[in-house]
Amino acid sequence: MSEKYALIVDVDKCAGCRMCETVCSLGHEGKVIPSKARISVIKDEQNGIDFPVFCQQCEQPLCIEVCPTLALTKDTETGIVSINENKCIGCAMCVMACPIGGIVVTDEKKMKKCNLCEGKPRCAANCPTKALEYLQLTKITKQKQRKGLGRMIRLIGN
Amino acid sequence: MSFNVQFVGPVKDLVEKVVVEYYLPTPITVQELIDFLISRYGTKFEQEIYTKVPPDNVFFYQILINGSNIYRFKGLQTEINTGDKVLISIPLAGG
Amino acid sequence: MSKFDFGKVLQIDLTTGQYSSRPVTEEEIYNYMGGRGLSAKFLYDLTSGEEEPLSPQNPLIFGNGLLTGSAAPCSGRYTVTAISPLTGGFGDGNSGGFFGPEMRYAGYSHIIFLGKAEKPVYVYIENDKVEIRDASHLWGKDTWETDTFIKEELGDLEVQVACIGQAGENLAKIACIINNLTRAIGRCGMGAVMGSKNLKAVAVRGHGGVDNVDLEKTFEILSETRKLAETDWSFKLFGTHGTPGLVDVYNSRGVVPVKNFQKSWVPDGEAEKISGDTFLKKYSKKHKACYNCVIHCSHFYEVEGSHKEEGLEFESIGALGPRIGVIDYPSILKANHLCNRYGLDTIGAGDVIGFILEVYEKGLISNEEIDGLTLNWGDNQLAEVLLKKMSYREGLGDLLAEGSYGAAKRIGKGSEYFSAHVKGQAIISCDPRGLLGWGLAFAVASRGADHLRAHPVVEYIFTPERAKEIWGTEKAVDRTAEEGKGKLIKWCEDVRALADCLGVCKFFTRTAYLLPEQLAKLITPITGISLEASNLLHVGERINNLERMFNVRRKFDRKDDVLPERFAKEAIPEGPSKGMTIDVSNMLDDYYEARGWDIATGKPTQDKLKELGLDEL
Repeated sequence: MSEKYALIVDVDKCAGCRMCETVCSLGHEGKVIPSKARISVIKDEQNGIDFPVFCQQCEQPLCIEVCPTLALTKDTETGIVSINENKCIGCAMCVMACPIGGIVVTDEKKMKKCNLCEGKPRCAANCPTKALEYLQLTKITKQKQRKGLGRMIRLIGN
Repeated sequence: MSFNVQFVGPVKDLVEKVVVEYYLPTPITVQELIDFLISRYGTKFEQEIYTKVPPDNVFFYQILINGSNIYRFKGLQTEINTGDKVLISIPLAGG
Repeated sequence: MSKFDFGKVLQIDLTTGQYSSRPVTEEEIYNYMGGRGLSAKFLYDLTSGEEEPLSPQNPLIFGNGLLTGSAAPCSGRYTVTAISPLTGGFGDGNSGGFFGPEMRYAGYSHIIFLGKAEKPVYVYIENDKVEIRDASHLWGKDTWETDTFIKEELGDLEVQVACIGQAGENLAKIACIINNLTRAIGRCGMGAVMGSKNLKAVAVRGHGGVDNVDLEKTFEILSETRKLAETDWSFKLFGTHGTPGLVDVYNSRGVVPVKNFQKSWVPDGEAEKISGDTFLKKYSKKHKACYNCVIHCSHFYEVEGSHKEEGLEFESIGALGPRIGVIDYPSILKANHLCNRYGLDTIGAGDVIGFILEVYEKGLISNEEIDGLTLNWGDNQLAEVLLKKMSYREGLGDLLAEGSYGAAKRIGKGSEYFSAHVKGQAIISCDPRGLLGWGLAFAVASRGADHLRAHPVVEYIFTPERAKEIWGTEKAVDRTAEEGKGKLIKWCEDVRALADCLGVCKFFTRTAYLLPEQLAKLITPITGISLEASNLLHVGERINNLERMFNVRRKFDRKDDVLPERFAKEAIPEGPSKGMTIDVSNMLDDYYEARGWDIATGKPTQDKLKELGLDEL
């Protein structure tokens, strides 16, 4: 049984450089074109918020449920949800169903989504602050807990 | 006999404070001072102070005595005397 | 023939509302590369030498670098070029953030604004669509309000906005252009030029991209760069503290100006209050970065009960701190924030405040002339008051808005002595008396007192042996020696021009990608263009000569390549650089000779121009 991984974000570390968008589009489209990247950094500059948004590879993908041609499928081993471009008819129902905007619709009405670069996500590999990480599911919670605890200890300590 | 050493840059986090007064027999050469500092602050200090910079592998840290770079004198063999102000600092790097 | 699309040049006439675009040519790329270099060529060709900087005849050129918006690390920089209202000569500013890349995704390498709109307008560009829209409801708003308004009005929060605040609207000569709220086209008064055209903002949105010829090699470079971020001293220094980390470094050499250069050293106990460490511990919340940057030198910071924003730069600490006698972060940070909102260059603003404080101290202006204000060094509330006045040209503000040299010319009575300027532009908060090479760099830079044209950091990281190899003498890397500085500065100016033409950050190209041969390795995989190091140096030299000829045409010569008299007459009184003075005359001869310019006038010779293909100038 192969291990499942997930792409996660450490919000405090995202510096908003958007390199994830650059390398994503570079890898998938052969050029830098953020409007076609499968990951997108959402910002509130006045409040210093930078947050990359991308498909969460849901366990019960709503996009799959609404797709009329079964173009969207989920790999049982890796968990990756992918679009078969040959079957996609461009109805954009998946775009509407996804609660977080994980499916990108381009200006040519093509649907694109994160497929974790088939196991070696370029965004995580290139993130300058390691805000984006590709971790085993079993490691995610502990890492978050230790970090949160670390912060609390510092606060109590002061 | 005493003289001051001011540390600027990452090396300052490896010593007790930014400006330290050392009581050592003077005159003492810069090399001897570095050896002393290494014996006092350990291997992390040694690695930091001997950081080299590409492309020419010059020393990252610059050493000034009373405002003048030791290269103007005898380099690491330059002597430090009582009352001197020694600066061990990363280089100037732009505005 | 590479398959790289260099983008288009868009020309917009604000008087007539007409616009047209055409592709950048390969010849333009090979000769001027892009960014600052190509903008210099456009500015030269579009003017005759007689134009007034605040007249409709002054072109305002937004220029992306060859690599802006590409996969190259730290490639978010863009330039704005025009005749400078501060100096009357060649002017430009350079900024980071995300405006340049978006302009590039819309398809543009350069955008040239000509003429003047009848009423306040802003220009909205979305890919091929260009709209000149009414901005009368935006006139009078600061840069943050303008940014918010435009995004809401257009119904698109992803639009990138470059705009002026009240300072630019009121033609303050030290007005800047702001993008992404705190990123500034700071120097040379570009904000005033924009204001003189009734151009409140430029908003861009692009859905296109930037080509990439060799994917594999590009990914390799990105991987190497990530490793550099962990091992390279420069990347690490800027990655943790950002430029505030320089406060300690400069102060330990005794070259941080205090009270308008009366002194140059903040005593150690005091300096800690405004150090990089203190900023990091007390105010910084997290790191921030520009487009595609691995260094993330910026921060998002907050001053409890006051404000929060992205920042902070060493120059702003210097200008709004010790230079005006203030050693207090909350005051410095508030003033910095106001400069961002009003759209003022922090260096120019701090400089003129320091100037007026000294001039008042010396009794050269009366209480009536200063609106009955109390002007004291170290008054933590003073900057706030004066920044507002100069943005609205209110009372004393009308004088301050001219910058320190402009103000000195109006005051007269020998006050010029106290203006720390070259060609009318303020010197940065680094005392050239303690840094001879930098002093020469300030004196000869095409855009007035400027450290980024030459940015001679190699003075500290090249060995005496390499110095001898490149510049003929080991003394070139001795900060207290005059010998060899001319050749050093010439070389630095030529090399550093390349970063501005490529649109990559100077922090990125300070070490691992400083040398032309290193830059060539960045250019080829992305654009497919193959250039030898010598070609690149040639381009850098060509651009410096072009800017020089622009200034010659504007009537500048050797007599303008000079530092304030004060720095030759008065020695630094205390601190690690005590006793030092500077006079650039000897170094100037060396510099002109290295450049192949006439020693008496500083004008490029016909032979030199011919060598660079500029003989029609």
